[in-house]
Amino acid sequence: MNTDVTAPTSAPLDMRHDCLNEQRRNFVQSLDETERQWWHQAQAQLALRPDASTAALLSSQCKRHLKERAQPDTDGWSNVQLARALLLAQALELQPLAGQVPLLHQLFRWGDDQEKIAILKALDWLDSRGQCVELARQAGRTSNSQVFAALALDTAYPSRHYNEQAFNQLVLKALGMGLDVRRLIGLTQRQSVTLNQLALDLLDEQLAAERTVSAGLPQVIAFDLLSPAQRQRLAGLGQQQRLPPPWLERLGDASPN
Amino acid sequence: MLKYFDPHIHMVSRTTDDYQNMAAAGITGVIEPAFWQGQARTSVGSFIDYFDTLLGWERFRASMFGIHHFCTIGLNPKEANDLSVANEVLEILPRYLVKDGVVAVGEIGYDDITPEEDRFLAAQLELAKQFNLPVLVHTPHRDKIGGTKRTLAVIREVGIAEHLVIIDHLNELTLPLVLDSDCWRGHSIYPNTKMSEQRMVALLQQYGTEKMVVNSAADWGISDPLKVPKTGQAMLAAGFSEAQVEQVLFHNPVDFFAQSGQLDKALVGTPLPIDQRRQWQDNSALRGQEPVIK
Repeated sequence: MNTDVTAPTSAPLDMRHDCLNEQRRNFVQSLDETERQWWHQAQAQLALRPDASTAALLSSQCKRHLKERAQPDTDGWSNVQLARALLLAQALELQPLAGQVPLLHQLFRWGDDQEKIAILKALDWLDSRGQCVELARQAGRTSNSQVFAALALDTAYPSRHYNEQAFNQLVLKALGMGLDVRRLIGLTQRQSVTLNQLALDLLDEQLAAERTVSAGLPQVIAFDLLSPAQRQRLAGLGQQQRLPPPWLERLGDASPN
Repeated sequence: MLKYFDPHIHMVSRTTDDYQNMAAAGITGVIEPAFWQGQARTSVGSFIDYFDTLLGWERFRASMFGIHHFCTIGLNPKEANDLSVANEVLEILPRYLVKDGVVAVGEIGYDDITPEEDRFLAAQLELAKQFNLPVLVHTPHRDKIGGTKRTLAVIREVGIAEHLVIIDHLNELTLPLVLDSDCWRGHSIYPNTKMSEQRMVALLQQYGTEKMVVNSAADWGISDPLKVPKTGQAMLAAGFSEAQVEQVLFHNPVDFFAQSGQLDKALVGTPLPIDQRRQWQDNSALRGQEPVIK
């Protein structure tokens, strides 16, 4: 196994320790006795050697030692995903500060898609200042919709840290993958004239191809920011019955008085 | 039988059945653009092995079924964003661009439309100028109109001759943007996500056949390596002549890539002689079958 940490050393991560500690308490409470025994051993092993190899090994073993189930009181986490995220958090907490970002990059690179999902779901807890935004953007280039969903849905990381262009691309990709964009945290705050135009271009493309219009497209559009010409075009499409009903309702709701 | 040429198909992902069916449908040659492989590569060595496969084993495999195989070499836009690998890939491109069978720089272009993608697109257009090669440009799946406009702007900034550029994956909204240029116009007939045969026919009826090119872009996704001949059938059904079908589905792509000097139009119109007794590095595509010789 390659143990080189090639990402540059950098400023420490700003981790949300309160949030992580609460997750740890909830996680331990949800374990049965056998699982709890393994979990304590794993934590002890990682405390003794908090390096990338140990963290990667223990992360891989989670699925063998935990009976996978939905983790209560979370936004769609499984207990295995949460265990992996908490092991990573422990390893990061035990690193010299300058080694935290490189370790996170290394473990992401070594992870399979399920391990990547756990890291991406936890990114907002691990990196409150957005130091890993480039890693997130690389991860978002995946064609695996589950990995992409872990980055895009039910997490505030993209809306907190992506620039406008990157966030708009994330929204378009979520639409393309058929994900439920209502779960894109911060979408309403990031709506804009630019995103409107991109969404309308996508609508035109889908209409030209006679494809089903993405169900989430009306959620993406800020109808009150539409130009008169855009509004008129949508109204025309509505009259031709080329738009599904939700569009007309939203258009009606946002009509200028 | 009408003859066809598929100028964009990722054969490393396809089976020998596909080669057999393509040859039976009249496809005499293909171009395999270098692209991404469904997941990110993490070292330049993976690119080297991939490029070598396009030039070596895959070209041999196509020849076993009488199909001429050429490729384009480039750094795709998705992986241009990983600078830890992308810079090294850029460095090795010149030695591949002069190899036999390399007919263009490609696929290059935009994916997320980032500054990194800008930089590697421009750098590779410069390489194409330097090596006097055509260029195959991929247009993005997201913000397709914005990506196509920006592609045209970069082509003009770099100053490569537009007749050496084909802009691919066009549709009803982006084709008109390219018609204002001297670039060639590529269209991928791909189930669900790109164009259909019927839509392609409608574009040909509206805009004519000049510089219009059609491909299957078949790859590791759910796709169809027979989309070029199927488009030919749709054109005939819509009243196009056989000469017009061959113009769009054979002559146009061959004429475009022949600008490389690496592709002889007189040769690619005829299937390669087949001798399945031949081997590549002691390897054969046969698994106990009787070798075909014709």
